Amino acid sequence: MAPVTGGSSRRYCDGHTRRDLLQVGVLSALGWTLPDLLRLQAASAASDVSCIFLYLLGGPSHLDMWDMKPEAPSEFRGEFQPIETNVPGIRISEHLPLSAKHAEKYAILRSVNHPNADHGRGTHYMQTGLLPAAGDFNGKVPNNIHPCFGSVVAREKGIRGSLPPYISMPDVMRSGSSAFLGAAYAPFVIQADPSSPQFTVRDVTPPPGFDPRRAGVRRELLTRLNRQDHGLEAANENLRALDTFYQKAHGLVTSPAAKKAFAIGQERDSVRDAYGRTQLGQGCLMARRLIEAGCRFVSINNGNWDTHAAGFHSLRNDLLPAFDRGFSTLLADLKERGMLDSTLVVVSGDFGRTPRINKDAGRDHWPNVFSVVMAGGGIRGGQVVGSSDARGEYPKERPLSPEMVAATLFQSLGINFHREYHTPIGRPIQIVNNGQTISEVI
Amino acid sequence: MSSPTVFRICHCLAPVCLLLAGALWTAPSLADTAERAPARVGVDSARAGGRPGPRAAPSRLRVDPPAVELTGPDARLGLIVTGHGADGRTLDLTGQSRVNSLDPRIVRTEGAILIPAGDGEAVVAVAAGGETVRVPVRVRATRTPREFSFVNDIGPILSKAGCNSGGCHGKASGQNGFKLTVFGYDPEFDHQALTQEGRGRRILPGDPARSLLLLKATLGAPHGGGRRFPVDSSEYRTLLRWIEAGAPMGRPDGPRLAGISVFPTERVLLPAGEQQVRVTATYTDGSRRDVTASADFSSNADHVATVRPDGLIQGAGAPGEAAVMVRYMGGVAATRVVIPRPGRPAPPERYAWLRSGNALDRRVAAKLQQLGIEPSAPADDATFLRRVSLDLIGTLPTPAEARAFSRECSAERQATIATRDPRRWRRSSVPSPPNAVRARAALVERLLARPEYAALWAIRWADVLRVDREALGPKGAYAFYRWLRDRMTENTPYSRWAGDLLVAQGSSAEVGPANLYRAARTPEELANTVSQVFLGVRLQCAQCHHHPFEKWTQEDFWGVAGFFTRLERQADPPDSERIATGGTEEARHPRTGAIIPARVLEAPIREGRDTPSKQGGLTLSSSQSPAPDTDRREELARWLTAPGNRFFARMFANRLWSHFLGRGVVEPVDDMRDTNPPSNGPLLDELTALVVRSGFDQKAVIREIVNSRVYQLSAVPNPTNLRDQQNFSRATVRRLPAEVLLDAISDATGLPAKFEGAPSGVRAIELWDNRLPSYFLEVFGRPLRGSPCECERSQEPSMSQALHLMNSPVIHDQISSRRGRVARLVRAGIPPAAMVEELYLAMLCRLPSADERRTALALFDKAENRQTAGEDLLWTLMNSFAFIFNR
Repeated sequence: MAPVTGGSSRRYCDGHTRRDLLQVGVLSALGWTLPDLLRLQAASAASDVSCIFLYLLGGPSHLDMWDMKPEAPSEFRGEFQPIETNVPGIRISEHLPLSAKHAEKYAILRSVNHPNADHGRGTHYMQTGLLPAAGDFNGKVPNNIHPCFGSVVAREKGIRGSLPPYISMPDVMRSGSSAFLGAAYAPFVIQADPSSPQFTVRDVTPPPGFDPRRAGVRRELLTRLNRQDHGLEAANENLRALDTFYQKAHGLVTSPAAKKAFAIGQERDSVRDAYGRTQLGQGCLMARRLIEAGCRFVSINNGNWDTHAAGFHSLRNDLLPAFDRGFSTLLADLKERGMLDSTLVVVSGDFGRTPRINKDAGRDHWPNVFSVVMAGGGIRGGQVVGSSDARGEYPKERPLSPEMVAATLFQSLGINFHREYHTPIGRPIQIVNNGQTISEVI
Repeated sequence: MSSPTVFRICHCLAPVCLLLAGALWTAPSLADTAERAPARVGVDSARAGGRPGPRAAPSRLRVDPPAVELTGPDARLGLIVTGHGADGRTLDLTGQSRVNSLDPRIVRTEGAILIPAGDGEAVVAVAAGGETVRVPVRVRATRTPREFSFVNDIGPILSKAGCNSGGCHGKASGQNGFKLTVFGYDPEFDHQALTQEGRGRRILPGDPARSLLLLKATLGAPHGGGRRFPVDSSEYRTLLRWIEAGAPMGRPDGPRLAGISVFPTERVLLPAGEQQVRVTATYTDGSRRDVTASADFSSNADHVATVRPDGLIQGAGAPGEAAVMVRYMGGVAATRVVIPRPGRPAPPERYAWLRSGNALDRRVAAKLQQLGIEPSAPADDATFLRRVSLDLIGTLPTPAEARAFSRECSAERQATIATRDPRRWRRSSVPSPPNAVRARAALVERLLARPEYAALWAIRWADVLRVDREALGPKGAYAFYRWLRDRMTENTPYSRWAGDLLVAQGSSAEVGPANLYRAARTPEELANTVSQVFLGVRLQCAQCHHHPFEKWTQEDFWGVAGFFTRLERQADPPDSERIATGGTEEARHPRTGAIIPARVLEAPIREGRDTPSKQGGLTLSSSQSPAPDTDRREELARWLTAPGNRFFARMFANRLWSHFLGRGVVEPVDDMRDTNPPSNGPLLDELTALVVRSGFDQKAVIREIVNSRVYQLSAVPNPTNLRDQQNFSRATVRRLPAEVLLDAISDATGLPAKFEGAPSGVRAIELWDNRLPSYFLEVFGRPLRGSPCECERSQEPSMSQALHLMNSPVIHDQISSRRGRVARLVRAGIPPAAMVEELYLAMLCRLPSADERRTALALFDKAENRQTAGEDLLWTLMNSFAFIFNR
């Protein structure tokens, strides 16, 4: 917590003045639309940390990846053996051999836990830092109640370069949007799988076959037409905002850097192969390219980790090899390009899996303890924080909450997570409620 | 189930008090005020504008109160010094006056604040602007040891310093082992926490100055929250004396806060003027106390006026009106400041056209005239056509309709000019040529009769009543939507359908309105939804603690919730439920567990409320007792929809106004509070009266609004109203709602959008299923209907929206399709000039200007063929502000 300064500026625990808070909140929609997004774009450069948020949808098995229990009875420990990593004492699954060579780059948080075993609420908690209460939603799955990490980053850090600040692929999770922060901070969604040969990014290029010369004609005509409305623009914020977004959009469409970033096909085959020709692998490669081109937060939603049946089979043959290749190559590639210190990589999921193996050779939902991995972006790697008990059922040491993971993520990105937003009813709510960073890693 | 909800809401509550409380609260020294910010009174700007400044006119000095009585050693009172100019204007001189005690043994002064020194009588001389006023002061009981009350004396200090805010010790989990209740809603708990817990170190009666409470707050010991007030501040001294006195809780039957008041309650300021206010608390024993130093202040219009934590209101530059909200220990009050535009007032005839409209126009004109803001010019016919079509039926007129309307208007105008004395309308601000009033009114009637009217309004009501297919299932969502749409088609009086909705029961698949009880499932959610949608009262905060901005208590919240405790939901497979009354549940106070009888807002609390009657403690506003099988909701519905209900009609009036004018008279539209007053009170009163008079006839009210001149103003600002945001001096520019914009694109291109799983050709505004997959609708802000807030529907632009309109292959195909508008025009052999006209009419409802026509024709000359040129022009118009926005 920042020290409170005295005097008439009246700052609060979080370093914000009363005026800031009022402008964000009580003044309602007018106070917090686009201008912040644009104003902030020029902010800090040197320690400007971006984030790749690798979300393993369905809940990855902590016991078969990061938190092996070889001493546990067979109905718990599963079919896989642990192997040594390049950091003495840290052991992970034998099916993560490539990742095992980079353990000095990441911290394994083995005692993360929360109380909810359904996908909707677990995902909301892990993607926004807020656990929705039953009264917050009414369907089977909560809507986006609190802004997700990417939207907060977009709001707090703004646009950098020509790319949107928050990009989600290959789709967007229901929790992965801007909630009450509004459309301006919603993700730009690449509704496509970068491993597919037909991969294109929606809306960033004119439709196929369109004569590019006509784009110039149209734009000139549009500028001319809109120029008549300068009088209106002066008095209307949303009009100005859309104008600016059109300029940004035009910048994106015509930017060689953006075009290059999206053109994953131009990447060397050896690099694409190293990441693995999977949705996850190519997603990681795409994420690195987007961050390089100026995006601040890329979320990769990778499916099929809800391994209720034949879990060991799919982990062994499909999920873990793809993850291992993509994740390890991403770390190595970021390191090689000198981007690791400025790029936080987080591996997260809805929850862990039941330590006791079920009758279908799978594991079910288990939020009581599971692992999250963080690398880069100033995170102190080569360590394990917290531990689970002998069977991987509950935290043993240093229980960590999703709020702490969220606070650490924001800390790494230089975002004051104590900052208050106001929900539509005027309720003040901090970016991370009661957030505390995990001091061991940052 | 309710208890985790309660806790989540509470612990994520970050500090409302902290918003306004200070990090370092020094005594409200007005001398200090004057020193730091020499009172800028805006005299110069007034002079520059040619208006006599207040100083130029001889002024009369007034001091409030004219005589002072200070009782007890800690009494305090801030004088408010006002200069009254001969021109009737007032000027706050509090910060610049010299206040001298003629007998410092009796009374001391700190700026304009009087502090007792010894018993007796004395005179204080107040001098400002060359005048002096004498104020007699009587001081009593300075030697009587103060009888402390934790609630009245200590709680306010903890609140103002932010100690009990949600971000600090007010969190559900406390902070570093020390927990207070948020906003101090449970004084017993807080007293206990201070005096008993923490191994007794927080309060050391044997060595008061070493109490952890004082050391931490003054940074005499490390404190995560920093220094909250300095040693020897008045807060410090009060706490110290309280500890010396044994840190008592105080008498349980001692005086309690009865209310607060603020002085002055209304002032006219210059744009950079200032006004100090004084807040007085009144207690149940009749005693009064100046609590300005401990009160919280906020302005509802920071661009007009801001307010400092010590209660000094400062003009912020824009003309207009601001309400300054004052809060103190659950009491609320508000003061209004009006800041007219500086400079010479506009001649009255500038308001003549607006004033000669209907009653609504007169209210708006009066306000604008008071503020010196001139209305924009009247909107032309084409602008009106597009605006009113989009607002009433969410649908663009066809080129043929646009042409016909233009003809009607011209004909009427010719007739008017022919019969009118030209000298009259040329002289004043009457539009020249005059508006085609009858043609416009006739258009409104045609639109009100169109089926799209019901579709558009069904969407709006379905949004706030949470008709979400995912929550209700397809059958329930369809039934609820259909029911709302039928109400709009039949124009059922609002009060009737709202009443029917509240008492609905039966199968959710058949009885549409019964789904309200599935959209909101718990008594708490129902209390929130019903009060916000129909009353514009946001009760949520009062679920866990006293509402921080309002008078609502937990008893109020749970009183409303109590109407919904006796409902049963029986499964009616496959995806429906049967709603029925039944059960014996009662609403209970979350902290004490006491039963809270069902009670409408502002009804008196019945004594002995902890002992429910046989009927379950239903508090009726009428005197008769309910039959045992009474549906409690009926009582609520009766009260809610009564014409005399001061919330219900106003909320409806405000919602309708905001739909058409782009902003409520109260804003946010569903946040009606005494502390969030309307920007134009008489206007809202007029609208409310209209609603009641019409018998809650939605179409009748809408008819009055859209036929008003204020609705028919241009959006183009003039120099005087450029910064106006709240007085309806010009039309608001609003982005088309997602569904309306999508339909507009379908109409423009001539090719309807397709929706997966919906019949082909269906319009977006007719979709009942809010979850139908559509990237377009999502990216343009279709709400998920998870809350009763209008704000869930986003009208903000985004980069994804711009990209989609520019490059979407779907829209590209619509534009270039062989069945599309451009291709049809080309096939029909329409020459370029006519094509250009047709596209302008179809999309912007107007003909191109000469310049636009030239530019467009040049495009046709250069292009490969007409198809290409037509597509490029259509794309350009579709991406223009003129198309995307309603203006």
